[in-house]
Amino acid sequence: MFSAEHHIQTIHNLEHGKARLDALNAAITEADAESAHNWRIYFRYEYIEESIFHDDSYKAVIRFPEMLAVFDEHPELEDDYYDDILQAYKWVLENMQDYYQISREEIEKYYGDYERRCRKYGYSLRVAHLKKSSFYKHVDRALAIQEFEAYQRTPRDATSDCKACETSQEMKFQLYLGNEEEALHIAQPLFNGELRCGEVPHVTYGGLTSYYLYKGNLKEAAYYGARCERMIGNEPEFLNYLAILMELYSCINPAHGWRLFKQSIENFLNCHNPVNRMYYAGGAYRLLSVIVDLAEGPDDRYSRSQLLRLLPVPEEEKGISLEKVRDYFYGIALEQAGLLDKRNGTSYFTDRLQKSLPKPDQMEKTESSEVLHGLIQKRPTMLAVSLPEGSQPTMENLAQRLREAVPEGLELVSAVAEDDLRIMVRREGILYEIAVFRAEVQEPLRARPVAGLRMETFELMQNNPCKYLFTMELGDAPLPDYAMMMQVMAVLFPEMLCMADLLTQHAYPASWVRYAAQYPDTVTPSDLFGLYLSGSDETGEVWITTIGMCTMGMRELEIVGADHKNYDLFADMLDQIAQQCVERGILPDAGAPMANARLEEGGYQFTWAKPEDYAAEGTVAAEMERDVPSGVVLVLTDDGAKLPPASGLFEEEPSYPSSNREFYRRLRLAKAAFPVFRSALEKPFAWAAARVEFELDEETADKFGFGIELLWAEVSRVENGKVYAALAEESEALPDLPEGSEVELTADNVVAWRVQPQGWEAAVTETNAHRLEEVEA
Amino acid sequence: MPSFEQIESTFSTLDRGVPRLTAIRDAIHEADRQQDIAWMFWFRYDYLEESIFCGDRYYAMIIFPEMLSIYDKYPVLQENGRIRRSLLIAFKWIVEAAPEFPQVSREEIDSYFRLFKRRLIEQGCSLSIYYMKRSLFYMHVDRGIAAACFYRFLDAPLDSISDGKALYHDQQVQFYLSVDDEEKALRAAEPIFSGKLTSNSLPQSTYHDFIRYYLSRGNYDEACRYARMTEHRVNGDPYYLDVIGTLLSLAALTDPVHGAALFNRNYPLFAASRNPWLRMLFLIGAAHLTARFARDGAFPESLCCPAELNAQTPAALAAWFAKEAETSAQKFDARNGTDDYQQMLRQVQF
Repeated sequence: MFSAEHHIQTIHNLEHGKARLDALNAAITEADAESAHNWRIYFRYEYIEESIFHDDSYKAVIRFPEMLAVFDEHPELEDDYYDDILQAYKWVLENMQDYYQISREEIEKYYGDYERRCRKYGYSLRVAHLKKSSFYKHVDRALAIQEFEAYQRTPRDATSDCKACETSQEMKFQLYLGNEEEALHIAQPLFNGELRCGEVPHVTYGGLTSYYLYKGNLKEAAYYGARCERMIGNEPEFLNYLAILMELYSCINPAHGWRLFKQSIENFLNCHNPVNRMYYAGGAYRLLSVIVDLAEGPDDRYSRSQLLRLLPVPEEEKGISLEKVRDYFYGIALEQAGLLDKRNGTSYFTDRLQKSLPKPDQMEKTESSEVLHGLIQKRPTMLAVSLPEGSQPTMENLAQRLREAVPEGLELVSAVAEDDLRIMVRREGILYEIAVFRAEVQEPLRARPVAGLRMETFELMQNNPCKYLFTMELGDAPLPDYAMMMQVMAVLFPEMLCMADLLTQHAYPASWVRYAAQYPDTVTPSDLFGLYLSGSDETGEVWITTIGMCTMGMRELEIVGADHKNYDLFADMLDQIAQQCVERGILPDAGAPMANARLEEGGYQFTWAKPEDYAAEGTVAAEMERDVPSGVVLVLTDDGAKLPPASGLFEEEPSYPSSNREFYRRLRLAKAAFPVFRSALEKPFAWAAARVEFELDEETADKFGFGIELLWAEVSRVENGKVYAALAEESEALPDLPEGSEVELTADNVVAWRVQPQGWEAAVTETNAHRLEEVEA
Repeated sequence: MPSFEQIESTFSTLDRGVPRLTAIRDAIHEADRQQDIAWMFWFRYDYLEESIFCGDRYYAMIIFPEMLSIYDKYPVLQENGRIRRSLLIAFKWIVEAAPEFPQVSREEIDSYFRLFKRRLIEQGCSLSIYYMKRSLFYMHVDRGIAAACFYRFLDAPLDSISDGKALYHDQQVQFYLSVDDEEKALRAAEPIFSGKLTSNSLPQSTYHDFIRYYLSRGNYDEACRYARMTEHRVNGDPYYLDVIGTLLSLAALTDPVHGAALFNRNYPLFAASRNPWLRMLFLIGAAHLTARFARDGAFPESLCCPAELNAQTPAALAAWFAKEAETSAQKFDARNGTDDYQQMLRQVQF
C-alpha cells in the first residue's frame, strides 16, 4: 500500500545527495504504480530539487519532461502544482544549457513553452530573460545583451530568483561585458553580507576568480579564489568552481591545487554534467601540466596516491603516470568543449581551453586593483617537536604509530614514509596533507613558553638540535584544524617533551598537546597567532605585531606608536581585535570595519591601512627593530577620522565584545573534560569549585526573564566516584536552594570548574587542566 | 455625524466580543450606505479580526467573502499596499478558521488554500504561511499531504505575512509530535520554553501540544506537569476551549474533582460558543470527565451540573456529553475522511 507520508518521513531522515535521490526514485516508482498523480508530480519535483542542489543536475534534466507530462495530462491538478512546475522549469532551464545533447532548438523550444506558461499564470518573463541571457553568452553575444536588457526592464515577481542570485548574475554579466568597475559596484551588497543565499556569494567569488585569472591578474584572482574556496568546500554542486580554483593554483600554488584535485576526484567521476566535467577536466589538465613541468626527475612524474587509482589510468611500476593523467583529462576537456561548442555554433570553450594562463613568476607583475585585501595566500603552519635525548623514531616508525591508532574522527588516506613522512587524512570530506621530517636545528628556536611550559623543559628543547618538523595548511575551520594537528602529533610523538609553533612562536608543554588532542575546544583563537613586541629605548616607543595570522590567510596586524608605559593596553587591544578576526574567519579589506571596542564615552570601530600611510606621517619609528614580516597598521575610526589607536586617545581601558562562540567553546570544554576534574578530586586538593547550571521551570523563567541560573558551588565531598558541592551563592529564582545546599556535580550540570591540588599555589580550570598531568608526574 | 476614523476609535472603548462586533457591524452598514470604499473594506477587516481573536470565528467566515469581493471589485483598494497586505493577513486567518466548521467541505477549504496561495504568489510573498496552515489542516485529513506541506514550510523563508518565529517553532512541535518524534519536538520547543520566543498564544499552545501527546501515550505525570503551567493561561478564555477540553480529559484520569471546577468555569463559554471545532474538543473532554463521574457513581460535590441539561445522574450527564461529542466528531471526521476525532473520543474510557 503506497504511503506518501512514509516516503516523505524516510526521505527527510536521509542525507542529501545519492541517498535521498534513491529514496525519491523508489517513491516515484510506487506513486506511478498506484497512479497517485499528485504524488507523481510531488516526488518528481522533490527529485528535481535534490538533483539540482545536491547532485549534478543530470537526473533533474532527465526527470523534468516526465513531470511536465504528468502535469499536462491531469488538468485537475493544475491549481495545486502550477507553481511547482514553474519553479522546477526554471531550475531545469538554467541547467539544460550545460548538456550538449540538448540542441539549441530544443532549448529555445523549452524557453518558449516556459514563457507561454508564465503568461498563462500571470507571471512576468523576467526570469526567462535572465536565464536566456546566460544561455546566449556563449552562443550569440548580441542576443545575450538583448535578453539581459529585457530582464532589466521587466519587474520582479514571485518566480524571480532571490535578490542575491539576481545580483550575482548581474555582476557576472557586467564582467562578461568587460565592465569590471560596474561589476564590483554591483557586487558590494554581496561582499558586505547584505545579500546572501545558499550559492551566493560563493559563485560570485568564483566568477571573479575566473575573470581575473583569464585577464592575467593573478593577485586579484588569488584573493577571490581564497574567498571562493572558503565557501564551496567539497560540494559536488560547485565542481565547476573547484575547477577554476585548480586552474588558479596551477599558476600560483600547484601543491595546494594538487590537494584540491585529489579531494575532488570522486565528485568528478560521479558527475554527468558536461559543462562541469569540461571545466573540471580543463582545470585538472592545467594543474597536472604544471606539476609535470615542475617535476625534477622522471620519478616525480608518478604518483602512488590511492585517490588517483579511482581514475581509469592504469598503474605502472613506478605508480600512476601524471603525464597520462594529464592527457586523460585533456582528452575529456577537449571532447566536451568541442561538443558544447558544436551545439552552440561557436568556439568559446575550445578557445578557453587553449588559452595560456599566466605563470607563477608573473604574479608580482600582474595588475592590482586599488582595493587592498585583508585576506592573502595562506602559509602552512609549522610545528617543531622535541623528543627526549636518544629517542629518534624513523619515519616508518611514525607511520606505523599512526596506522595503529588513527585519531577519532579522522580517516587515514595514506601515510607514506620515505625521507620524510607524507600523511593524508580526511575529516568531514576535506583532505589534509601533513608532512613530517627530521632536521638538525642548531639555532635556538624563536619561541616563548606558554601554557605553563617549564623553562627547564624548554631549554632541553633548545639544547637538542634534533627536531621533528610538522607542517600542514590550516583549512577553513582553523580551530578544529589546529586541534586535529594536536591529535596527530599526540599519536606520532607520545614521548614528546614539548612542541613549538614556529609561526606563532608559542612553545607548549607535551601535556597541552595531549589535552588539546583529547578536548579540541582547548584550542582558542589566541593559540593561532602570537604577539611580538619590539621597543626603542631612545624614544620609548613600542611596536607590536601579530605573528601567525598568515596561517589563516590573513595579513599580520601592527600597532604603532605605543610606548613602554601603556604597551600592555595596546597589546591587549591587538590581541582582542585579532581574536575577533579569527572568530569570524576574515580580515576585511583596508578601510572596511573589522572590529569594535567600547569606552565609557561610546564605541569605536577599527580598520587597517598600509604602514606607509603612517610612516609618512612619522608615526612609525624607523629605528625600531621590525625583524619579523611586517603587516598592516591597525587604525581607529573616530567620527570619520582615521588614526593609529596608539595616538594617545585612550585614557581608560577599552572593553571588547564578548563572543558567544568563545562562551560555548568553554562550556563544552568544561563538560567534556569533567572526568579530568573528577579524577583530580580523587587526589588531595586544597580547594575546588564548579559553576552549576539550574534549569528554571517555565513559570519562574517567565517571571525572571531567563531560563538558566548559574551558581558557583564549592566541592564538599567525593564519594564512590560521585562529586558533591555546596552552593556558595544563592539566587532569587531558586528560593528552595539556599546557600550551602548540596548538589551532585555531573558533566550535565557543570559549566565551569576549578581545582587547586594540594601544595599548588594556584588553581587550574578546564582551560589549563593539562597541568594536572604534573600531579601524576 | 462622527467621521469613520472617530467611529473606529470608539471600538476600542467597547468590551471585546459581541458588543464590539455589533458596533462594527453598524459601522459597516454606514460605510456601505455612504459607499466609502476604503472604509467598507477596513470595517470588515476590523469585524473579521474581532471575530477571529475575540469571538468564535463564525462571523469571520461570513464576512470574509464580502471583504474579498469588495477588494476584487475596486482597483483603488488593490493599489494600496497596506490594504493588499491586510487582505493576505485576513486570508491567513480564514484558511485557519475554515476547517473549524464541518459544514465547509474539504473541496471548499482546498479552494480557499489555492486562492490564498495564488494571492501570496501574486504579491511576491513567501509560501511559508500557506504550507504551514495547509499542513495543520491536513494533519487530520491526509498525513501525507501534511508531511509534504510541513517540509516545504520548513524550507520556505519567513516574511511579514508569516506567523513569526515563535509560531514557526510551535508548528514544528505539533508536527513532530504527530509523527511521534518527541526528541525533535522538544528541541523545537526549547526557544519557546526558555522564553526566547513568545507570542499571544504561546507558550500555552505548545504546552497543549505536549499535554495531548503525553495523554495519548499514557504518561500522565508529564502531561500534568505541562497542564499545571497551562491552566491559568487558558481558564475562562473562549479562544482556548480546545485546550480546556484536553485539560478535562486529563483531569478525568488524574483529578476529577479539579476537573469539575474547570468544567464549572468553562461550561458557560462552551454553551455560548458558535465555533464547532472548539465546541467539539470541549465536548470530548467533558465526555471523558463525565464518564469518570459515571464510573465513580457520583457527581463531585463541587460540580454545578448545567440545569439546561436536566441530567439527574452522572450516567445521564455522561450519556448526554458522549452523544454530543460523538455527533460532533462524526461531522468533522466525515468532512475530513478520517476517524481521528472519533478515535480521540475513544482514547479515554472507563
